[in-house]
Amino acid sequence: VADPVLQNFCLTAIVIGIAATAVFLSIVVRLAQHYRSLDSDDIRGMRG
Amino acid sequence: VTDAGLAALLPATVAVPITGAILAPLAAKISRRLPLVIGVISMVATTVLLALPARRVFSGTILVHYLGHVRPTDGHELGVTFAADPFGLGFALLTAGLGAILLLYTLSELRALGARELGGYACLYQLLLAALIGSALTADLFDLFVWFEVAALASFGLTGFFLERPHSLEAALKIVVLTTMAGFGIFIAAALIYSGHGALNFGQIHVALAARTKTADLIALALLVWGFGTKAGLMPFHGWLADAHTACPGPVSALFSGLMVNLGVFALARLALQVYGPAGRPVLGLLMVLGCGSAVVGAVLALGQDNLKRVLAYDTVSQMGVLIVGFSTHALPAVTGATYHLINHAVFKALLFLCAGSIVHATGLEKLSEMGGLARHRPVVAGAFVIGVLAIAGVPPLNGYASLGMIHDELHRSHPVAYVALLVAQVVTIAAMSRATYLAFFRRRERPYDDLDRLHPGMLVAFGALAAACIGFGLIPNLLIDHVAAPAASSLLGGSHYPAGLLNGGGHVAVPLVSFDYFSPAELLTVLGTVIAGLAVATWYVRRAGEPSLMVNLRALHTGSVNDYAAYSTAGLVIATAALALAH
Repeated sequence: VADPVLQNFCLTAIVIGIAATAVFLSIVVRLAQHYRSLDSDDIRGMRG
Repeated sequence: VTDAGLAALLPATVAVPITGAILAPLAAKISRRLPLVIGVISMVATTVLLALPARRVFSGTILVHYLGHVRPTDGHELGVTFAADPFGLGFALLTAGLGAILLLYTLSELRALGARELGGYACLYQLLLAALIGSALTADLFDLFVWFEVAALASFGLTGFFLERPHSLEAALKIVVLTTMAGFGIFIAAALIYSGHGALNFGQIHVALAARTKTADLIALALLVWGFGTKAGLMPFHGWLADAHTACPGPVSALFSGLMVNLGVFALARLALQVYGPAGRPVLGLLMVLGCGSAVVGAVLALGQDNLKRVLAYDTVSQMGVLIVGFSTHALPAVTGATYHLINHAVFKALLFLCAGSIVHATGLEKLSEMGGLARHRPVVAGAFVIGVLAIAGVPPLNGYASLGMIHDELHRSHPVAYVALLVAQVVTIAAMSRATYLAFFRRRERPYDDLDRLHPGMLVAFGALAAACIGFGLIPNLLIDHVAAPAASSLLGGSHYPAGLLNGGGHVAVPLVSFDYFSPAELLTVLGTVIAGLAVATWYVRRAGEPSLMVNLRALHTGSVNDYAAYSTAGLVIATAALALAH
């Protein structure tokens, strides 16, 4: 029998991962509009 | 009320703020400011709920509640467990109380924002507070991971709160990338431990590790250091911290710096000292190195900043280093001092960030070079800022004096190298803070400011409450040392008391007496010496033209590219893993 804890483990991680990816992508869309670039090396207004 | 009754209240302390978070965006449809009012009410209610068991817990009782009554069988526990020990409850109470004050401040300062913004803000703010309280009270590694991720998601939204500003988006990108990496590390660590021992409950992990510690367990510990070290902003995982603190509104910076980064320190102390215990002893040396490095590097970077909020943000890196050094001494007085300093830092750093945020909000200026003369225009803010700076500098009778003194004393006895590093960090910290105070508040400024918005009552209440806490905690330090910090340290260092309590439905820790000599000449001279040296360094730095080459090089390493920060972070992980695996 598969370990239900491990399945619960992975499902939770997937759900959290989807949420984080959604936030990440929405930020990337906005960044692309502002900076006209998808290279994260170009996005460095704050440094030091 | 019985212990079981009090323990049954623990899940409610998370449920209340989460309910508030759900209601907030809905309430925004009724009235613009209602979400924040709900936030203040829910955090006050949470504080009361947490205060109910406080008396029992701080006298040494560990309260445990198994959700759904899934009790341990034969020492195995896989259910959701809430537990309050003095260390966890202290952090939870601090979070709830400070959270209420910060939401009240927001209600006053950001009152002009639209309904949608305020609804979202109040929702994310309460969600983050709920996650911090959940982390403080959970007794399960996987639940800790989930709370970490809840806090992370809420912090992403709050960092990017000013969505129309490119800097906010940039900061949000950095915090998302680095925190997601950190969360992955914690997840893999939990998986490694579960696959090795079939255990996720802290008590069960402790018992399993005491019986047998494998190399995989120490690699898991390295991953945990990476994950929570990122959240704590320890060098070299700190790339996100300064940007996130700079880009978000003042009360959010205060929340991040006062409470959220503490989650990292809190979890590291709990995992290294309570859960791993003797099995994780090698990690203390690693944490000592990371702590000393963060303390010095953070302070030096703070000295070189032109942005007021970045000065405070890099100082947070430095202070988190000090806390980690305190916890990794594994000695009762220093761990008591570190717990006490964690509370003090939350109070004075929140105060400083609120001051900085209120200035940025009122003047629209962020750079020290553009500010000046604010003491005349903003006497209340200047007074509050100076109190915060004096507290950081450890000037008696403010609250930083005793807590730093307790950490320094122990290092002086047992870790001379770390002692020197922390003294250097303290001198540079004082220099950085006094430089910022001078440039922003006391320097003469030729141009007058455009009409400054007046200070609203809620802002004054928050400034007053936090400044009063800085002074009060300093004047009657024994209140916190005897009744909160010493029991918390005893729980951290109490061997198997806390883990055994988790598996037995409750337990006890000893409440030791930790003394600190307030009028010892050595302490007072140390403070005097560091303050004089700090002021000298500040004077030298303000007068000189251009930056010293050390500063130029150190700042050049902070390229602003998230790729580089991720590379530093990964390199840190590789070194930490190698160090712990070899130490086994």
